Amino acid sequence: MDTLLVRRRRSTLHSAVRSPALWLLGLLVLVAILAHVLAPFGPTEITTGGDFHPPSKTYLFGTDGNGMDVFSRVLYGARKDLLLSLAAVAIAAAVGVLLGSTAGYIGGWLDSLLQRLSEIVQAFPVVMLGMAVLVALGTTLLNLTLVIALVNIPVYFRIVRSVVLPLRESEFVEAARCAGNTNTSILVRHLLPNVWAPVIAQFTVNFAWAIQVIAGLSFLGLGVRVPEPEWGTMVQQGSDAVIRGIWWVSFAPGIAIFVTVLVLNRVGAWMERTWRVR
Amino acid sequence: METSEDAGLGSGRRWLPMIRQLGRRLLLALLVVYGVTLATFALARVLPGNPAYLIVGPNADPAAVRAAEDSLGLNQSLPAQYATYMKDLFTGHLGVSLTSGQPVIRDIADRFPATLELALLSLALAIVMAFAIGIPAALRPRGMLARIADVVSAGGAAMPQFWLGLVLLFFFFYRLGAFPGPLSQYPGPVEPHHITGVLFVDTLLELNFHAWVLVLWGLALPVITLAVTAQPPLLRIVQTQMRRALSSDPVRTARAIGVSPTRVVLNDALRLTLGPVLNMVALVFGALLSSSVLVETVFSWPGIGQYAVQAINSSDYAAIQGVVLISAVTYVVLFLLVDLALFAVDPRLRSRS
Repeated sequence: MDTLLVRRRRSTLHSAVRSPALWLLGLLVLVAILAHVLAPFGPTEITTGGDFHPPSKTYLFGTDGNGMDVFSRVLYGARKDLLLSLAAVAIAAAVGVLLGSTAGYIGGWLDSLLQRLSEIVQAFPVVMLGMAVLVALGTTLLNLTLVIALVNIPVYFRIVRSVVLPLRESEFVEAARCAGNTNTSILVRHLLPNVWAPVIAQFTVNFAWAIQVIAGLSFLGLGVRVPEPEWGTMVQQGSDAVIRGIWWVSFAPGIAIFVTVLVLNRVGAWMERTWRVR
Repeated sequence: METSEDAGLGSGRRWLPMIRQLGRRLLLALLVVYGVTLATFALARVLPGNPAYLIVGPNADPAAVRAAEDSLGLNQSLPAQYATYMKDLFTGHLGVSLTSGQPVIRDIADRFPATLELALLSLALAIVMAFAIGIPAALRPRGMLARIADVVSAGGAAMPQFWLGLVLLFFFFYRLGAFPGPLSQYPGPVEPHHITGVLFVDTLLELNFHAWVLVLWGLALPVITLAVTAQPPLLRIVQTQMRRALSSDPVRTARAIGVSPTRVVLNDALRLTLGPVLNMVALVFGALLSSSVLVETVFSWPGIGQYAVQAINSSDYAAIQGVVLISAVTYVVLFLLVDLALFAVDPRLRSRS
């Protein structure tokens, strides 16, 4: 006989197979992994097509101002954008879950302190804060990742705290405590399992957001540098040419950002629906 | 949490929790502002290089450098430096910009109207879009418009702003030549007089309608770019709140006693959605102010965002510090004002403990 949990898992799986957003996400990840197989040129290879070659059979999306193949760079860009955002959001989620569960479970002055700190971080306009920190610490990929992580920590902190806090006094936690469990094991075994669904749903949405911010900061010249293949940087590279009618340098990377963010947001919405978070 | 039952308390006791709530919010805002000043102060300390060299030049002799350090107070203890920094802040000194040679506060004051103009008009357009699409979509949740609303909000949320701006420029400036390119804020031959600094208000005050139309023409593309990417949360909240309001008791009662359908929607239901929508309007406005950096860069719009980018490119630290501080404080004040407005609009909040 199926338990409720098994049945629920199976229905999640069924709905996953039928979700086009999840298939598309899989496809995007595959493109990122196989970029070196799929791309006809290297990410920074200067082709013989010359500068600003319009889209053709050899150069599907044309070439940019350095004579590099835009199509190949968009494919390699998937690698860079997905990896950077994933790293940033993963750090934020890890730190946020740790702090949020501790604050929610222990409470007291630690909880108040962390709450005020997260409010201060959230009081800064994100792009401005990102700009300031990158200027101060240097525009390296590591700093870019850390800034995105920092501004996202409060999001996870709040979610996890709000889940753990009401459960702290619940009967099953009381029972676990009476049975002689330590605080750590209560947190890890009994409280954190309730946190994963909202955290993973948030993770997906945040992932999309991080891609937008990384691309935006790179567009401003504060993130990934030319000639590294990154979508925001690539849009910037073509931005002066657009008003001279050369649309193809900026066009494809912009579409890539749009599609990736759209797909991730849809996946996040699917998760919220199936797991009934919120 | 929300207890509307105890709204019938005595009038004196009814105001007490509200005042306590407001006091708490105010205290919190002050705390956040204090944190912000600490952060911008720290920012100046971790910046690479010795700021004294910015004054005396890179090849100055050690004595001159030390003198400059003294004049900047760099030899004092950190708390003493922070005290000086705070004193300067309270007297309105944010330092002098290296590129413009003007006090940073002047630069920011010069450029703020341009950003404000962009953000306000975009907000207005986003609100119009949200209600125009959101209300009909809520009335027929399975209708065509509801599907369009889904596409508009999902598409707008995923759209990279800077890219949308470029696409609009390509079609409407390069292809059609119908709108001005990214050249200046005012596409006309003669700049209007400076009254408020917000051009579309200034031209109206002067009754110079020709210039007003030109100003709006120049604003069109950046405003559309910002509004399209900023509207999704607004549209979504109008849609969900409206749908909830339509099935709520007061609206059903109004319908039952024979109030006309249009009035029910536009009067009774709309009022119920205002609180949450207002809250979201503030959030979107805050986001607009901060994300206008990208659109200002695309359209060469002479606002705060462009100033910040220029400051970064020329390592103009006082300017960067000033922009970050001012925008963070604007944020905090904005949300405080929203809290106050919400208290005024939604009586349920007043009695919340």
